[in-house]
Amino acid sequence: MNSTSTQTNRIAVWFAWRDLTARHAISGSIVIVMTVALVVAGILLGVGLIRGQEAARLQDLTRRPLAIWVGSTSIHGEFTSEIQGSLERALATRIGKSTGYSIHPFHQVLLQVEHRDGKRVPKIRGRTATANDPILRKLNYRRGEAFRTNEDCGVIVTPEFLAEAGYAESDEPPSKIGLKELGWPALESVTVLGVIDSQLPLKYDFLLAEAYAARLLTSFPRGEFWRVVIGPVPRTMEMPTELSPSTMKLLEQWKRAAHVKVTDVLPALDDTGNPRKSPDGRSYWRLETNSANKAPRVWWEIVNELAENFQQAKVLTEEERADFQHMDFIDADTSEKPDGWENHDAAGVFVNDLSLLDPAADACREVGLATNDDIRKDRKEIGTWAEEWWRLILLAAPVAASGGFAVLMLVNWIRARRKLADIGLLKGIGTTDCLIRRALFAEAVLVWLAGTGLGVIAGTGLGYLISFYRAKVSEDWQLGFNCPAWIYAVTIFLSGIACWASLRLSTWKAVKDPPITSLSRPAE
Amino acid sequence: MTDPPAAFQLSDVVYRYHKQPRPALNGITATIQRGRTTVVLGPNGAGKSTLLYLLGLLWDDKLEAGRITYHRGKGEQDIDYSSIQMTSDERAHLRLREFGFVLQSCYLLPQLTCEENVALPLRLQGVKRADYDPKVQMLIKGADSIGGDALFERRHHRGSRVSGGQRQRFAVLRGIVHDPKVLFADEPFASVDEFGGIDAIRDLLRNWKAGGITPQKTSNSERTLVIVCHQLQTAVELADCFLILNGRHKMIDGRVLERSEFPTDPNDCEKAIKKKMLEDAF
Repeated sequence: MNSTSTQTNRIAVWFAWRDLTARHAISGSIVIVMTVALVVAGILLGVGLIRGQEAARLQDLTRRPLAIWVGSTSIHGEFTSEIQGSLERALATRIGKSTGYSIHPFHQVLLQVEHRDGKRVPKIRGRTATANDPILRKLNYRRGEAFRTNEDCGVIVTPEFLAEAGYAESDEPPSKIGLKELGWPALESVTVLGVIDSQLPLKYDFLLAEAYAARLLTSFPRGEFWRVVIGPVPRTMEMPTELSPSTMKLLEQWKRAAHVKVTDVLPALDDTGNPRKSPDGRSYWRLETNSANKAPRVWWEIVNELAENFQQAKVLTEEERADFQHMDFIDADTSEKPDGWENHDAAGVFVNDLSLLDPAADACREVGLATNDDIRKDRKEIGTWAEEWWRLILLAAPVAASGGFAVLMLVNWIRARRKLADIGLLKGIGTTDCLIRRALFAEAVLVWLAGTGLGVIAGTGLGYLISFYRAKVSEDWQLGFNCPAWIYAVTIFLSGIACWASLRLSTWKAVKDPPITSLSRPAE
Repeated sequence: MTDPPAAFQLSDVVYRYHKQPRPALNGITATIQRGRTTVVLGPNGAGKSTLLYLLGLLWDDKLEAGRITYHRGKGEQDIDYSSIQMTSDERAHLRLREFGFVLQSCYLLPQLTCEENVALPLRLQGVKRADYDPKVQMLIKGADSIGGDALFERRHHRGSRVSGGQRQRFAVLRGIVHDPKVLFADEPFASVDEFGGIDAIRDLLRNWKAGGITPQKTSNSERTLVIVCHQLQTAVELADCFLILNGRHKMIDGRVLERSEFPTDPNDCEKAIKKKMLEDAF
């Protein structure tokens, strides 16, 4: 750039600066600058908050286990090692081992928890977890911590679990709590290892270390209940006529169950050979499983279901047992425990990245596994939400920009009434058209710099301020600020065009006209 | 005695505003001599201001007929306004370097101080501030010594913050600060009061013409002043000659009358000119 050009530019900037900051022009300049700032800030703030919200919600999603839960949700379903092998191959094909995925099988466990009032034992539904299960590291612990080994004796409980046990949110959670299998007579005192502050995926109420869960559950449960005496049921058994139709149906189903072999059912007889009666005059029945039953929990569930149908189930006291000399009784706390399970009920397929969820789900479906895609549903919902807001922004931004441009044009037209005479005079005393154009350009640049500068600072600052204070007010409402660089670039560029065009259009004629034409226009 | 060389030569100049049925200037033939003060006289609508703007290149339109030649003197090339297609920048350059203007509306740029307004032509010429500052201050002080209206004290005021008379004097100073070859003054006394204001402007113009207020760049004999003026008494005090325009009578348009042809006393001169113009009209 030669010295003449530099000199011209310097004069142009000087003119522009003085023109903007003159006492009579300052209010108009402020309106223009503030309009540009307002539109820029509005667009940046709108986009930034929406993108921030989307990013925060996705970030929040990644704090949850990035897992697809596979397997049957039925108690009869099993996740065998063969299925796991097939799934691993399918995942390796679709995702690739290097990107990282892991499969963590687990058992579903149905238990009863001792209520705080000591009178009730509500049902709770939980699952097992091995110590390396990622779900343990994805939890927020209000108290305590995750299992360190599979042998850790204790339970990790949710707010729902505590609510079932009669603990309000404000109550201090217990350090030990009574748990038992459904229908099992005795409660076992279990250590509460951890208390988490949110719900578990698939709405489980608690987590148990896998080896400990296996020990907690009985292997060969036997007991006696009011009106239901558990024991073998022969296929030729004559159905007791006083049982309800639903119980009769259940017994029929049970007799047909392949994995639960029913061998005998006998009415308890008294010394005279007549069926024994309960103290209130009702009959006793005895049901037993055979030792080949692979799923004691299943057996217990059926028993529990029966007990529910019989309206009450009760463990016989020592005195009451005396009436049943021909039976063997096993106490709950001395019952045999299994070493563990060969197969699992379900599994979590964990991926490292949100984007891997879809191919992982495809792999699961490929091997015929049922999937529970709650995380994918949430992600899709976030995507849809963001898309709707983007559409709104795409509609609103041009409207705001047009409104801003209209204000710029209007104010510049008003200012141009005086500016035209100025331009005429400047031309009259020998200012070249080039200098006039540069002065106008410099004025537009100054307005643009001030307006976009203020807008960027205000929009960005306000965005971060809102997200900062929002985070302080509530952790539940995620509101971040994340405006992409290209939005800044486009907004700044377009605002520059608008500044220049509005000024140039309003003074177009004055620059082109001979000096005396502009001078003869009415001045301020 | 030979006539002074011409600054502008007009021959059969016809100029018509865009789409106007009647030409604003209709066949003017005249010579405006260099180094002299020419007062353009004529009734309203005779085209006095139009002629001034045409000579000062403030109009971009072409002449409908005729020719205007600007003789720049000292071996510089003459410029024929009608035959040369001058670019906008060339016209601006000429206005900036060789012409000065004092306009009727005494317009100062309101965003600049009076001093900055005065210095504007020098700044546009690329003169450094260190060079033009003393010159501008000296000029304002000189004007103060002529008019005595505390211009120097008010030099840092904005153009809109001084009185009409002061504004017009600053406008005159802006017109002469770069020492132009030709100063065009369109009704320079129109917006100043008769109690000293007119005299101050008149004395400023007279001083510039005599080379007493601006540093000598253009020699006194080169300085040409063209004034359009209704205050006949003031005009006759300044004039070396009169250019009479009477748009209704083409035959006598552009007649130049020497000041020496009229009585020395301004009052008598004014009466004589009026009589002459009346005679010409009929």
